Amino acid sequence: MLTTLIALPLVGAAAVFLLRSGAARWTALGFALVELVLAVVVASGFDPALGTYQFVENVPWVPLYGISYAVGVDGISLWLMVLAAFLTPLAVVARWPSEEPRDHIFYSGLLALCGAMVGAFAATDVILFFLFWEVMLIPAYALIGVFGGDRRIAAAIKFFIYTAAGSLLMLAGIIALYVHGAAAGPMTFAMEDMARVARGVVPFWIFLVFVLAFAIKVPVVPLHTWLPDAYAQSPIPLLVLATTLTKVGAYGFVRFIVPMFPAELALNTGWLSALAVLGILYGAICAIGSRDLVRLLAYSSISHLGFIVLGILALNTQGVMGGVLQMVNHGISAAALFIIADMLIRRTGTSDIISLGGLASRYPLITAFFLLAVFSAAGVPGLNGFTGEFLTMLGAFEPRQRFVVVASAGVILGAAYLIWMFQRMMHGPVKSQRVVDQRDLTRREALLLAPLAIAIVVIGVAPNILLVPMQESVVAALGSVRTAASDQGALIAMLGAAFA
Amino acid sequence: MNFPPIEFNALAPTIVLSVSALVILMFGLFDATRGRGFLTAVATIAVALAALASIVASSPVVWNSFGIPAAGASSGMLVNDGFALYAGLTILVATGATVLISGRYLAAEPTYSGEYLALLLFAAAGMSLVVAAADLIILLLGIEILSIALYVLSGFSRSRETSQESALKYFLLGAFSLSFMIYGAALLFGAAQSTRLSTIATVIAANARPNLTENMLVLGGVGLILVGFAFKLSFAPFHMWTPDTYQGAPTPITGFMSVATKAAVFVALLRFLVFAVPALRAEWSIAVAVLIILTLLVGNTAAIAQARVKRLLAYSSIAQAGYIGIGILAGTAAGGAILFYLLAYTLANLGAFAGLSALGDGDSDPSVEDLKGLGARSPLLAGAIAIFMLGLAGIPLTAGFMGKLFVFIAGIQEGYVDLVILAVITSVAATFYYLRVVIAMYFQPVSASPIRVEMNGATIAVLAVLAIGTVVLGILPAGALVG
Amino acid sequence: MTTWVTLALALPLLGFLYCALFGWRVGRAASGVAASAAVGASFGAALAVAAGVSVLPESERFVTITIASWLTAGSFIAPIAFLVDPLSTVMLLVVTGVGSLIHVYATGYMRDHHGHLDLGYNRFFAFLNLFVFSMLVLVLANNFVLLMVGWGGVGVCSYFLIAFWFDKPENARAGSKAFIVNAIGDVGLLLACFLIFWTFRKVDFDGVFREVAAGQGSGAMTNIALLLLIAAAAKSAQFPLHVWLPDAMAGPTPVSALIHAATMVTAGVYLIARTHPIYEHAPLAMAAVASIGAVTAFFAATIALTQTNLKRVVAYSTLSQLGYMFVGVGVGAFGASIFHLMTHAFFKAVLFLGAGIVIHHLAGQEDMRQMGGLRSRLPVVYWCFAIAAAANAGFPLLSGFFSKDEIVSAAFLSPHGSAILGGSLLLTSALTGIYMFRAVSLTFHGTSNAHSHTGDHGVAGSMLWPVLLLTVLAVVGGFPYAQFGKFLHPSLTHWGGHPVEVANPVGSIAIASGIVSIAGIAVGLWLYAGDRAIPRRLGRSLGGLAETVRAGYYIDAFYGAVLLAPVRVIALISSGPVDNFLIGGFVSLFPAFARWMGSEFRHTFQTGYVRHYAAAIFAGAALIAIFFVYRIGI
Repeated sequence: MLTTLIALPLVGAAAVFLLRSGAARWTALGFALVELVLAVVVASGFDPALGTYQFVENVPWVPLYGISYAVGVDGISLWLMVLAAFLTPLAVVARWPSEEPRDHIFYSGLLALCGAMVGAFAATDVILFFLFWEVMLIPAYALIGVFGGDRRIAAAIKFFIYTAAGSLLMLAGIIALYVHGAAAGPMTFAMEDMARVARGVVPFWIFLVFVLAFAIKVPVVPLHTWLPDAYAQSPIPLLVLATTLTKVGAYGFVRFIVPMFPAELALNTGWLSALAVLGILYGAICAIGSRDLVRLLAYSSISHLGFIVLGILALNTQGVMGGVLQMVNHGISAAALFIIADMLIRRTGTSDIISLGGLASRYPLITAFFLLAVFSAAGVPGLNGFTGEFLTMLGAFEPRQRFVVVASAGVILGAAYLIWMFQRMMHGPVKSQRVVDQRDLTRREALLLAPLAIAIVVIGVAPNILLVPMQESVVAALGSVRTAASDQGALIAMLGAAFA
Repeated sequence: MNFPPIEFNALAPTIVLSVSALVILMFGLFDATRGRGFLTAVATIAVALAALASIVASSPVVWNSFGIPAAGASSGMLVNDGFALYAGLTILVATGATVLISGRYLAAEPTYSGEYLALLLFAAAGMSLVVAAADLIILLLGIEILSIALYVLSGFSRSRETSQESALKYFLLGAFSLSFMIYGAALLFGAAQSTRLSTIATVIAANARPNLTENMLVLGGVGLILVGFAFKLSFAPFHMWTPDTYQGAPTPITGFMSVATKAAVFVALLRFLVFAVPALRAEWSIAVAVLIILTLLVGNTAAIAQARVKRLLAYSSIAQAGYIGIGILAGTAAGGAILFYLLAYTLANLGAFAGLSALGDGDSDPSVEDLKGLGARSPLLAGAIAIFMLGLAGIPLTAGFMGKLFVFIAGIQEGYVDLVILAVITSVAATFYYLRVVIAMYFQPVSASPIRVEMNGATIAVLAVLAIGTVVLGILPAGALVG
Repeated sequence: MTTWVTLALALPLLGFLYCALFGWRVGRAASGVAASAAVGASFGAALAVAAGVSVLPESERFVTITIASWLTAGSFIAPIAFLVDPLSTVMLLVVTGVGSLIHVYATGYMRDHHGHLDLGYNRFFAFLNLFVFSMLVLVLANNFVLLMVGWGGVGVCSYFLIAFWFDKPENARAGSKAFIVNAIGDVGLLLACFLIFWTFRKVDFDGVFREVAAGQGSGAMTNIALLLLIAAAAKSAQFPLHVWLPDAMAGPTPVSALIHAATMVTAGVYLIARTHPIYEHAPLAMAAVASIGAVTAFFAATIALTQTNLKRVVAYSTLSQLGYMFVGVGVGAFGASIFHLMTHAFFKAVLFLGAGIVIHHLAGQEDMRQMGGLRSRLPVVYWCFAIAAAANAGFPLLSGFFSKDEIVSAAFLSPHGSAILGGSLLLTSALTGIYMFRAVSLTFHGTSNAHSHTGDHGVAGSMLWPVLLLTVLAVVGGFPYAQFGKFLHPSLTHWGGHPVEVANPVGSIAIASGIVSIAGIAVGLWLYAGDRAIPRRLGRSLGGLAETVRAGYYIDAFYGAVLLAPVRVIALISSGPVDNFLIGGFVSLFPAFARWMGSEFRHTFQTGYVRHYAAAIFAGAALIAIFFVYRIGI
């Protein structure tokens, strides 16, 4: 089942790549929708009562080194898979109006990206995960490079080098873990084996490279600088899906660092959380300072992901569940914001907020959706953004009251930059800007935004739909932390050994 | 008088190759221009036969068998083990591919097709000696055979001065450094009264360390032989000939020597270090480690700076040698990894040169700029080159990734964590310059005066096979992984 | 009971959905009717609920209605559940009652003189209904997190409706300002919520208050109360977070009446009254509440004295009255404050709606200096406005008198109170009389200065009747103070609270405040009914001071300079140079390095001369030799 879920988009990518744009568009949409259906099937077949992996498949791959093709889904990865499958058709439809001859490459890239991400979420073998983790970069990199803005190449290189650096160091860490285990006895790259070894005495640098790799992908300030450039240069329909890329980084924290390095984490959440808070504030501040709509949204992503990381680092049920929930929520609201930004930029021919104004009177329906998305991002209670943000901060408040108090300034700044952005673009007198397109929401665009709007409201009103299946898996993932924290003495000794 | 027994099993590929080389030489004497296709066919068949012969000769194949004949064995000059076979086949793949992509080049230099192909096969013959050598004499013999053939081949484009220059440099420096190797062999002979690796091993092992440290002969010999190897593998600082020679030599030949020579010499080096002088591991491992560090740094940083694709690939091949070198340090544990890496590297690097041979007149020296917009102009060629670049960069789903993975595992297993970290960091830089080629092909508009693109069936076939191989080995490496 | 509560909640929501989804397709006028009907029916349901509650025995007037689970993570459980008790019932009645009247009024107000509907007619009623729904969620929620939903919802609606005529930049700015200032309050509530959960491991009122009554978590009490105070102060526009309310007058007048006078702005008072068990364990916070209230009451009154915009005068008087309510809850007279909340809803609605009619009549003119002499033209409105003004000033036997008097007495008599508090309130009510009747005089008395008004035309009944009804309430609303207190009593004692309840309003303090307010009104009339020479002279003599007061003590300017400007500067710096060069710089070094290699490296190392290469090889060999010799250890 999961293999189909992973393979289908990749096959689709190959098929679409060979087609001309006209047919490619429909084919891509077809594959994306089937993928979505499959994802829903998996979700409905998922047993929320279990905290273990389900739909497990395991085939030896490179027996010599104990590498296997092992996939499974638990409450943490489930919704992220669904998210990827949910956003892919939307991204395809968002690209619809483009008439570029090379668009088949674009659609193919989207499907490839989707497949790679689903694979990364499904992998339960560390090498397999790393493989998908790296492969994700290629379509993103290619689509930025081929379809991006004027400074696309610099942005693409920055993006690739940055993330590649992080992940290759992580590869060294993975191997080192494997070797540690192999020294003791028969060893594999299966996640539980790796975690077992990692929880023993291992060199500290391994922990650091894992953190580094995921922190770059999230991104955690000050490792974030690839993101604004990459987003600003991307074709916006790509961003609809690509924001999920950053979720893989946050997912890495939950899936790997928490169960693998509970002891190291217990001693290092302090400065990591400090960075998360810094990111929340810094992202918001930079967003306030941005004139370009896409850059502003990019910085707001950085700020929001700060909350996610902060929640995960709380290492309690509320924080981690909130973090995972917020990954989904941010994926949805960011997608909505980027789609609307795309609509408005195509209609007005500019992404410069200052030169826009009074669009609300010209595009009332788009405005309505835009408001919904803005309030979702601002974390207005009753919409999806609130549920996740609330739980992350609630969780983080237990170990770190002061951090949360500081971070809460980010909530105010967030409200500020979002509402200012909206006010400048939509309100006030109609500025005399070049207007390419006078039409309000088209039927295609309505189809595009309706699912997102529904998701925003439904998750806001009934977040338990997502939370209940998540609970057991999160508790299981945190089990190791409990045991590690339970005897601090041994832990200190352990780290003493690790540092030595 | 009594002849020593001749080890036909181990010699099988060498014999097939040399004989068919002579045959081709003969045919070449008559009317080469029209016979070119025919000669190519003969050469291809010869390579195939050699492959077949080597497999048959060493069946039943024990892929992970690696070693040297026991000391005092009646016949110990050659070994016929899985590693020799694996490396030999890799070399034959490279040879065959080179023969096939040389078509367009030979069309430009029609008169000498026979010589060209014959020399190619002779070089291959020398290499298949090298991989099987269990005796310093054979080793030197093999290296000389392949070197002389390559000296001539790299100067084969007589119309181009750069080709002449590259040949001359290669020859002078090759002779210079080979003399070190011969002298080293002499010293070892002085110490062990034999050139058999097995005997050398026993003698060195027999001497307790205090005496050994008195024994200048052994250490000096090992050191000087290392210099010879280092030159052939273009480890820094013995690499300087590489960019000039690679740039000057005919494109197919550059591809050939960048992969086949490395395959052969690496196996020989491993055999020598692991089986002849294991007792000196403490010493040679440090020396090799230093060479590798220099190689990784010089190769990767210099490659970043290159404007010409052939030079870029030259430096990148230097860097690649550094990664394989980590495997060498790891010793037999890494044997399988090294062989896999060599195969992956052969496919990708030769593929890249095959791609270049489809540009210009088949022997051109394009700059990265010239590749602009190739993705739009010739999707298949660009796609193949992109795959090879990603493969060399070690991006997942290519053989290159698996090769790096296995070698790094072996390296860390033997405790070279810091070296692996360095390798990882430098490979980020490597990603940067490999991607430059991809960027030019796909992300940038066609330049004003686009370079000519022309592919014959053979080239297309080779590109396809190598590209598919790169991807398949990246997805299902287990089959090609010995151990 | 469940049915009625569900109905009361559901109807406005349905109204919203109708107006939002179909209102712009179906005849737009229908939205107004539907919306008003929805809220009206909701009021009916509210009455049923009230009846249902009042028949229960006192100790059982706490009905929890659980609709569904909502937010569950580990031990954290926040359901969608409602607590129906006397307090929430009172709020339910006020919101739906006043709300429905104002809806009716708005159906008339939101069209121009020719009866053409405003462009955003259905949008307006959609948000008005959504507001009522959110407000009901706020007052009915049985836990802090669901309360936050209503809390945020009313904020959002308030934003919409302030910026309703968004093509005017100042309206849009006013909306954003309200949203951002309220975000500060929301954060206060958020943090309070966290602290409450990690202190008591639960977030539902009943559970938390039981713990509090049992003496749990006494350490966190003051912090919780102060965080809640931030929320309350922001929502109820108390100093120093009051700055958004005067600007909020940019919204249509019915909005000012409903949201920024009668209901939403009183949410802060409700919150404190609702969480009184916590406050009673946090005397420091109580003192803070009371002093903030007193300060706001006084300084808002002074500003109201100087304003020339009719709606702004009423707005500042709202600030001032909310200040009274804060003093009330601050000294423990929770019942009194809620009572004042109700009466204030009546007379302040009248004031706003009356002002609305005037403005509507003068085609949007809001400046009192352009008014005057309207008494003859709008006699009914004049009397309603005057009566409401008197009630606002606490004129004896009008509703405001009773409620305000309870607060003042409590301020004097309560253990938390003091002579200073009470005195300041008395002084303020004197000022109240002055500024209210200054407004009355400027607007209705004297001669007409209205240049801009577009002739005479009648006032739509849909606008007049609600005002009349509310005026009646403003007159009689004060008398049932005793029954009101009795009805509310259980909510304030159920969790072991000891509310200050002033038994008998008639007494020395009552007389004093009555006299003071009458005096104020008299002075106001005396100063402004006539030729207004004295105020002009006064204004001239203390020009600087008057200017300062008129400018709201320059508090806006202060925030602009101290908070906004720095943030903007830092934002520009960090999003520009810092992010591009300082942090992002080093990755950009790759290409630069490549260029350097290209130029330097080749000429220094890769010369192309065989002799150099040979030298390199020899050097390498020499190094290896030296190394081995060294290893040999000679």
